[in-house]
Amino acid sequence: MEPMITVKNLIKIYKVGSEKVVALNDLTFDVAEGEICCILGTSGSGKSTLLNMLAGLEKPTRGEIVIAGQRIEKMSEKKVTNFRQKNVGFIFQSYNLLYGITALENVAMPLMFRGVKKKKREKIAFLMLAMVGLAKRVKHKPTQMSGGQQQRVGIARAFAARPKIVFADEPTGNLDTKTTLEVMELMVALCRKNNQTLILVTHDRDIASYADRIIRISDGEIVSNEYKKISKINQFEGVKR
Amino acid sequence: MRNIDIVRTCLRNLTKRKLRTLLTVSGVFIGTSAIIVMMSLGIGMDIELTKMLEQWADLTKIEINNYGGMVDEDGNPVPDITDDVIQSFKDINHVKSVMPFYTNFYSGEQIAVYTSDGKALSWSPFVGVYMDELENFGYRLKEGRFKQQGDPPTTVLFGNEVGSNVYLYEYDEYEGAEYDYETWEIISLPIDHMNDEFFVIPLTRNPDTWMPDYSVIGSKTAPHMEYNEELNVVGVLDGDWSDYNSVRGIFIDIGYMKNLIAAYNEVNPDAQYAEFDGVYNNVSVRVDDMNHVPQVEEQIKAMGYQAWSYNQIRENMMQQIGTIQLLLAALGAVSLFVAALNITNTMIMAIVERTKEIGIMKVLGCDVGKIRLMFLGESATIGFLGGLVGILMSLGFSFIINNFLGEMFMNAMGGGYGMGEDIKISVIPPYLAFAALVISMAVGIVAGLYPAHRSVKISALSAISHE
Repeated sequence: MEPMITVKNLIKIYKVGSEKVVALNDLTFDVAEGEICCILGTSGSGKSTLLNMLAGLEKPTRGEIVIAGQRIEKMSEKKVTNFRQKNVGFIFQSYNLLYGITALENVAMPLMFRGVKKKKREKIAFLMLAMVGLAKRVKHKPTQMSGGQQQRVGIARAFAARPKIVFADEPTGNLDTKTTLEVMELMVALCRKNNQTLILVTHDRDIASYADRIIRISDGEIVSNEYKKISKINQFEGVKR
Repeated sequence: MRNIDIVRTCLRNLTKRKLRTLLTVSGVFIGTSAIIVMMSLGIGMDIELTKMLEQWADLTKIEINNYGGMVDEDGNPVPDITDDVIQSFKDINHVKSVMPFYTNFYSGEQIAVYTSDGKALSWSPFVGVYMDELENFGYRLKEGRFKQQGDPPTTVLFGNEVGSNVYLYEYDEYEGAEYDYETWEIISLPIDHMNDEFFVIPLTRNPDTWMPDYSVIGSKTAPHMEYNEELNVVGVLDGDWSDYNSVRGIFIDIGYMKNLIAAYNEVNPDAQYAEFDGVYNNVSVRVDDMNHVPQVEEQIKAMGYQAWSYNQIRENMMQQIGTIQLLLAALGAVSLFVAALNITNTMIMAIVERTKEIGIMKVLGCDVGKIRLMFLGESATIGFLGGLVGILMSLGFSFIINNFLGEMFMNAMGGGYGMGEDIKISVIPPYLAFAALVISMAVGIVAGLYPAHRSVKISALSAISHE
């Protein structure tokens, strides 16, 4: 079976003044469909740059990125936006919710961009919020919620449109230990449920242990790329309701 | 993304910052109502002026004169006006009717029109016309009817004040109409147009004094009595003083006019009148609409004739009003321009505030075109709302101006010219209101172009990464 993501000889060089900084140096790997893949690295290792490029937010200097059979580094901004709309969900460290609108509207937003009618998308959003345990808070605005709750809204939003791939960038970076566990389990469970691919970017080894595979990056190069023998998630059953 | 969702997003963003929206909208409605009120004053002036001109002038009429031997600016002789020429005038586009006016004789001077009870009409011109064309030319009736097929050649129509002065030839006395001295309207005439019997007879004029001799009336002597005929009065015109003939004239067919000249010449061998030779001195052209007058006039002039219409006066006045109007509208436009800058400013602020939000939307797959539309929609809505409120406000201003300031204004302009109380110096026709709405919305869109362009340029990556 063809992999969901294929990265080949990916190079990214930034120009800082007259100096060239190599952020990513010749990365090659692929990720299968339904896989939970962790990109582990310290700050400045190039992991965020890699994520931005996988999401089509930045263009590589050289190399190719194939996602779901499409060369995204060759797409125009309009096309890549459209591609994200149809195939990609995002979870951010700082949640990046819209603070002027309710949790329900936040979750429904990706569906709105896809042209789903208000009634239908709000129904889906409600079910998503119920799934992450926020059924009673659908009409609340993110400002009235705790960090953990906000991130659960973020997760509901990322999964609402059933994307093939979800990118999570330090999803638990702003959360305490207990909430971190809840959020991670939720994310992984949702992924497994629909066989969605999750790319988890973190510097935290404990978080990495939720993944099927860990790609370690240091100074823009892959240091190791190995499958875990037993994933924590294999022992996890179902989604908490 | 559906259009309805773009509209919803626009409205939500506008209502979220009510005060700012309100302030921006108020800039637009001040500008819009300034323009509308200024324009309405110009339109009102135009309407009042037209009304005023219509009272003392006929604005759809073009007069063409040729008194013989006339030359144009280049020294070429002006061609004669004949029946054929009249037909060619009639063929010009927008010409409704053409009427020759052949006026040589006056009742009481060369020819007498008198009643069976001894009253001769004094000082009324005989107006030779196409009797069948009167109605089409725009004359209105006060009584009776127009000439019909089968009526005798002696058929006449009177102007409504014909007979306001009569000569009682048996007593050498004059009798006048009774007037209401408040309004100068006639209460009663010494004759009854429709019921008296009227006769016509040529008079002899004393070659020394030029005084007519009334003794021929009722005389058994030839030749006058041979030409004595009863007139067939069929109607009275509803005349007005913008056309003297319609008030005082005795309208007859040109053919009958020829008979009268011939009769007069028969009885005055020493004071002959020129026979009608088929050339008219005076022709009027009726145009279907006042606005078509200039083009028709132009064509008649191109044919080599001397034409004149009140429209020339009106045009000069309109030009002056147009200049004033332009000046006033420019004043309004300045405030609308300021309002446009205000919109741009508001939108730029909104975009700066929402940079992160726009970034998030882009990352989540919102098309940049839709983002542009959202911001253009917001600024267009501001323009639209401003236009709408501006229309309502200017209707209010217009009401105040017309009801409270109108008299003051007119007095300042040099006193009302007896226009009565229904003066409307500010008039807002629907097309003006509609145009104002379209323009204010367009101003909103144009003012939003640059901010919307900026919103599109926002980089999704930097927008989401700045903490």
